[in-house]
Amino acid sequence: MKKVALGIMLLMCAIAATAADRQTAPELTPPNNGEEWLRLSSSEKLFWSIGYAQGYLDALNKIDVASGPNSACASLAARTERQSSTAGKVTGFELVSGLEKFYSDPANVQIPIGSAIRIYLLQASGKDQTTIQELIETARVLGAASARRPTK
Amino acid sequence: MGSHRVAALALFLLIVPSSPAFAEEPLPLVRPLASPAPFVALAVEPVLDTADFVPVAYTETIATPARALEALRTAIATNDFAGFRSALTQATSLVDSMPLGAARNALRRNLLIYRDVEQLWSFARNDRFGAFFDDESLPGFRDHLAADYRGLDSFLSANRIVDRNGLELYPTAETRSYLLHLIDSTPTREKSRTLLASATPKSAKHARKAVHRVARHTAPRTLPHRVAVKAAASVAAATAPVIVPAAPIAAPQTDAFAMPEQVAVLPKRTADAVQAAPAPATGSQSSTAHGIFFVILALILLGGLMTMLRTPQAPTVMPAPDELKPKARRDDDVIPMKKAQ
Repeated sequence: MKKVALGIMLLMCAIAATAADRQTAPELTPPNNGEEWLRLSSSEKLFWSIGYAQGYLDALNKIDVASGPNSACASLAARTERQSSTAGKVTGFELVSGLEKFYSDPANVQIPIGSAIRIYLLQASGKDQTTIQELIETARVLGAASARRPTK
Repeated sequence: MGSHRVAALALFLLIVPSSPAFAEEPLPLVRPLASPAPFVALAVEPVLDTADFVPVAYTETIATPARALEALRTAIATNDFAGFRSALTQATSLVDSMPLGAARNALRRNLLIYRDVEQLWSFARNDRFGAFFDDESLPGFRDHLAADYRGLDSFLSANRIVDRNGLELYPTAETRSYLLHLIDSTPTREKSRTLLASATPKSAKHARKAVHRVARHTAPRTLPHRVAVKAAASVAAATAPVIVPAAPIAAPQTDAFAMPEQVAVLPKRTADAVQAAPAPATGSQSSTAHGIFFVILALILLGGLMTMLRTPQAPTVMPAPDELKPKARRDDDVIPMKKAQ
């Protein structure tokens, strides 16, 4: 009987250890809009920005591999890279700082993060404020509509 | 006995490989986005001058300390920097005109904290890299914070980011939240100092409590409280792992991401870092804890196995009732009658 009790105790120890290990696993959720962005810590924002920029650049660099070097898709990718890629224009620290400023306005928190990045890049490149403001207003409407939509 | 050994061996084989010490570090669970976000089609626009920033003064007149603090809190909550500055100026004028006493001292101490908040906020707004500050961007500010708010030193050390050149960067948003918490939770700076000093952990148990306290302070208010505290604790726990920079993926040399982003979150190997950092999810402290746990578990297992596999003493077999009867004489004992005769 003692041996059975000992065996059960050891088994429970192992199960508890496994459960404790499972609890400590971090859970990362990529931000979808400003509300989720503001939940992240500064370190998480920075690392996310680095990953975003590198992933974006990687995807753009591989488009011509899949579509052919002189295809319309490759030229579109090159043009898009010039217009909206963060690579070579802002650093991760700048991107985080820009998004922080952008989302510090409570009216912007519903704007999707992809739109926020593009708006910030246009701001950083010195586009006129009127156009930027129009884009922000449009993005707010889209963000509000997206927030009203039920998520699966 | 053989079945016991087999059972013990099976139990050992079942438990040990499933223990965390043998398992690999858990990979983070990444949730894909549920649905693609709507996208704004941006046209290429000509470059024009940007509009100037026009500060808006705080229109109301601040007459009492309570009103001053409320105005400052409201300005922060609504992200009204111009209103905050205006309210801070008015509150400073108010405190200068107040008679000497406890109320004046309390307000002055709070305003000192608010001035630090203002400096951080102004930096975050105006600097290109405003999300993080260092000694170059805000000279002496980190030392000033560490000297004035004792708990903040370990907090900053736990949340710092170190790039590959050894440059230490501190998050502006978290530091600001920490300072605001000092104002919200304690009426005076002296009291907050006392609180933070008493929160300095003297043992591992106290350290864990202090970490959760700090996590509770820095947790975002938009989340459910327990989730937010967990998230903040896990964020603070992110001091341990060293982030290895990814291999360059055909990026051009002019890529501005190449230099400053190959950063590493390094643990500070001082008592302060231990005080502020909770048991991390993945990292050296976690590995140490797992190692210690495994040693204890192995010792328990070894003890159990030794108990089960111990060589038994000679069995004390009780004689059967039949054996208790007088033994029957053997044939040799039987004396042949003829011989006897």
